[in-house]
Amino acid sequence: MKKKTVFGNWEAGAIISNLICAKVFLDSPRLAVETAGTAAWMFTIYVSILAIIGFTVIQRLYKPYEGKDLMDIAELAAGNIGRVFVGLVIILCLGWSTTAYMRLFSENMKLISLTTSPLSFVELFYVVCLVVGAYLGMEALSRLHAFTVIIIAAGFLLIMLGVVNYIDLGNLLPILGNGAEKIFIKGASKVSAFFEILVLFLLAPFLKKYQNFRATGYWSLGLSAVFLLISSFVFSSVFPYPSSLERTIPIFHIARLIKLGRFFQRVESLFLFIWAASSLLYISVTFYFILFTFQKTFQLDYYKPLIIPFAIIIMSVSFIPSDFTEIIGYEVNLFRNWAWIVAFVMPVLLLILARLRKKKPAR
Amino acid sequence: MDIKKRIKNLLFFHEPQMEKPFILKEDSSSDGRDNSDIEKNKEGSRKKKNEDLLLLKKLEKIKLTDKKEGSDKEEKPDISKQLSENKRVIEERFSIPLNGDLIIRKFDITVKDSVIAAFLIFFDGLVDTKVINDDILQPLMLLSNLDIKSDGENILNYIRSHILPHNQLKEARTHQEVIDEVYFGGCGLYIDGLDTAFTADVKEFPSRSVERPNTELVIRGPQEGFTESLRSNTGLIRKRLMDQKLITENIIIGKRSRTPCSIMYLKDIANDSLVAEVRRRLKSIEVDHIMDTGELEQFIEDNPSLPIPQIMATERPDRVCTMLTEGRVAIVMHGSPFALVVPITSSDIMYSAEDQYLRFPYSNMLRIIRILALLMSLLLPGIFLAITNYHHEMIPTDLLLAILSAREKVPFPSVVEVFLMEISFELIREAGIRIPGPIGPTLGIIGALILGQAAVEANIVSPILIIVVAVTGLGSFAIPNFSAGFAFRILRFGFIILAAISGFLGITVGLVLIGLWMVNAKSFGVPFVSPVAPRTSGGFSDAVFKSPVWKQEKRPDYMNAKRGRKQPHISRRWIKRDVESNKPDSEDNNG
Repeated sequence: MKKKTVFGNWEAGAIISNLICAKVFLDSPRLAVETAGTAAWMFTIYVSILAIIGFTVIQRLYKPYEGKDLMDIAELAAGNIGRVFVGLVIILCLGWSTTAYMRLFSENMKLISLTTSPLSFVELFYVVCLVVGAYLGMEALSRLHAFTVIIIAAGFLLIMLGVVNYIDLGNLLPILGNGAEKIFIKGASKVSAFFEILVLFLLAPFLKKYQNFRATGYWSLGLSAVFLLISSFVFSSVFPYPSSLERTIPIFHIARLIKLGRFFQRVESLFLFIWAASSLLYISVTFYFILFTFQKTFQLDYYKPLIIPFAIIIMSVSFIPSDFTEIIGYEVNLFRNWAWIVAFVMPVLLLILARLRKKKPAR
Repeated sequence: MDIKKRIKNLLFFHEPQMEKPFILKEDSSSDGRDNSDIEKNKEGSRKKKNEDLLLLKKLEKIKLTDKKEGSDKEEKPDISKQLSENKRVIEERFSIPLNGDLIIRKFDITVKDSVIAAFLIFFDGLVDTKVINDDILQPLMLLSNLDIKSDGENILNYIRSHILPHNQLKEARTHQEVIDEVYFGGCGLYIDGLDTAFTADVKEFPSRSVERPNTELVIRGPQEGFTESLRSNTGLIRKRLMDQKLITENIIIGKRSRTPCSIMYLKDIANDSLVAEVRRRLKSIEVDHIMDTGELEQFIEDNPSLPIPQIMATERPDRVCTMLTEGRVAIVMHGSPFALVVPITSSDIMYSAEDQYLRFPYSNMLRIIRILALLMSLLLPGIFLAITNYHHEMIPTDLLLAILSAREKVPFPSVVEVFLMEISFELIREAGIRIPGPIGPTLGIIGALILGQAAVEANIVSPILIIVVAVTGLGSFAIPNFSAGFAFRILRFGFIILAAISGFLGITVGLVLIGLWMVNAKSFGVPFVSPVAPRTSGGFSDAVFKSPVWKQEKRPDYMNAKRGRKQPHISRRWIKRDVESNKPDSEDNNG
């Protein structure tokens, strides 16, 4: 007997917020600075507004499809072929996110604290977590998010508070940074930073009601926007523009500045806890949804037999890029430039197509 | 062969077994629930309504099968009218004459001019012989000769109404009922010509008197603990919880030991499905002998592999009473000085009975200290290892130099040092419990020598590590739940290994895995990390902090009790002057 998992807005909001904000601990603030220069904060606000507008369009169109996920909608829009196609696209995108994040976080961990350990050893910790997370299922993952994300958020805010005295608003000048064109036209594609909102469209059956779906979407987008804004604002105001471009792990470099009297001068290692927790939760959730999507796409009865094979595939693929820079190149120049099509355009097209085919689902 | 099978099971997929899930839902009969509660718990109830219909059906099915099984098991009357036949059965069942402490006393009763043969059975050593003599044998053998006025009743009624003055007389239709009573310190009376036997409660067990609890000491609050006697334990609960709706259901566990147990709950508060589930689990236990609630706990818990206990074992009657008033169910067992209370959540194991009796600022401070103690007990040696092996930059230079100079002569890596000290500490703790009283002080000397000066002087361990292990030990003693203390001690070794191999990353992975394990667990249908995950009303504040007693208006939401509210919004009516007479006002005015 299959047990249907249902959880509340709190848990769902925590999952989506962590998915979107986990990149803060990687390269998100630096990317904002690279794109918009000293106007990184403005760029973050702009991208967030775009994401919220995109979500507003989707949620309006989504209204008649309460409790249905993206694959159900694809099936309504284009039958089995549609479902399989959309499923494969989602698996590819989430697969890439999981692979890239696993590699990036492991590389960062290696860089910061486990300098002599082989990369495969560091990745093994991530693999254990994603296997256990997938095995225990969405209910356990959602409940874990319910309190862990608060601790992560509090830790992040502590780091930000710790460097308040280093903030120099002069670093934010010129106001428009690299220029309006780079921020508002070329920067629009960076709305892919909110690609993880795609998981909300897969979470819909767990949320059941349309109202929950909408509320979770807005809350998580809003909170994520605030956290992304804080990180880009603090990063670009603490470090001068040329120097900020050189920081590999922005938040770590911010944390290194924290000094609490003479005794506590190097507390950045403590924040490893929140970075590691955020990344472990990220990859556990995306991995679960790879399996969930695969199961749904090919209408399988069980997903548990897929856990070990998929974990091996994810780990093996993460070793393919030869180094840190190569994987960052794929992630930043390729994935984060085009992922918005999957996260925002694809759902809109599917919903329009489903409406056109007038196959409204029975409630 | 076994290993081969296990590997095969591990590698190959198996169709999931049909399980019997139990989820604690709101009771349909919760009429007494306040409207405001229902309104405020909208979110919770919405979630519950969304639960799978199949689960409900499954639950119903289980209930039905349970009922059917229950009715099947009801034994048919088997007491014969022939006294000799009954005696033969009893002698056979009690292995007479092999069994030396069973007494069979044969005698005659004179009832209405006729002499009837009878016999009485009881165990020597379990009964009060004076009560048997005065209240059973004497009336039957002497009073029956008196001319008692009666209106032609049958012998059974006549004996019950006129001859036997004992206060706890029961009629039994089966031999098994009589045998159960006899084993529980009663006596059985068989009378020729009657297919019904009498049983009377005449127990006087050799047992301890009520003493102070050993593992849950408090300064403020009652000082009574349970004993090994079932009825004195249920009596201790009833003495405190003088509520008409307090129910004590009797149940027998163990095919051979026939150990009497009692399920206690407040009828109009405890969720019916919870009570039914407790009853179902207890009735379904198939075991020959059961001796203690420690064994019983293992038979009925939801997740046997979870290190943290999911059932509260307490030796404090007052704690049981408080938990009963919240809608929980208690299980008391004959022979065990610990009562079990279900369901519990992770926060319950961090609270002491005293928390309820202390003023709220004090109990909140204690709770914060206990959480710190838990973290220290679980993580401190791991964090020490992680910092010294992987994150040296965290240590200020002066302290780093001090640690390094202290470790200079120690030949082992720090992980070996930690293991040596932790294992020594565990040894001392275990030896401390087993050591006979008179030589107890020796242990203190040995412990001090091992853990103290000698180890440092021999350069086996560094002094800073002794401080770490000592503080960890203190932390583990501050955890109020005995079983939880065990759990954190086991997990601590896991964290030491994880920290040794990968520093803070390993510790974080360990915390995430334990977190996943715990949030996935349930205690009698209640998610173990409620009300934090899943978040229910009250949420985070209730899980950590205690509000003043007059503000504890509701029962825990996750209990789904029939009555959600414990007290009205304003329970201190005296603060509203206009509620009562205007006397205080007029006095004030006059003043």
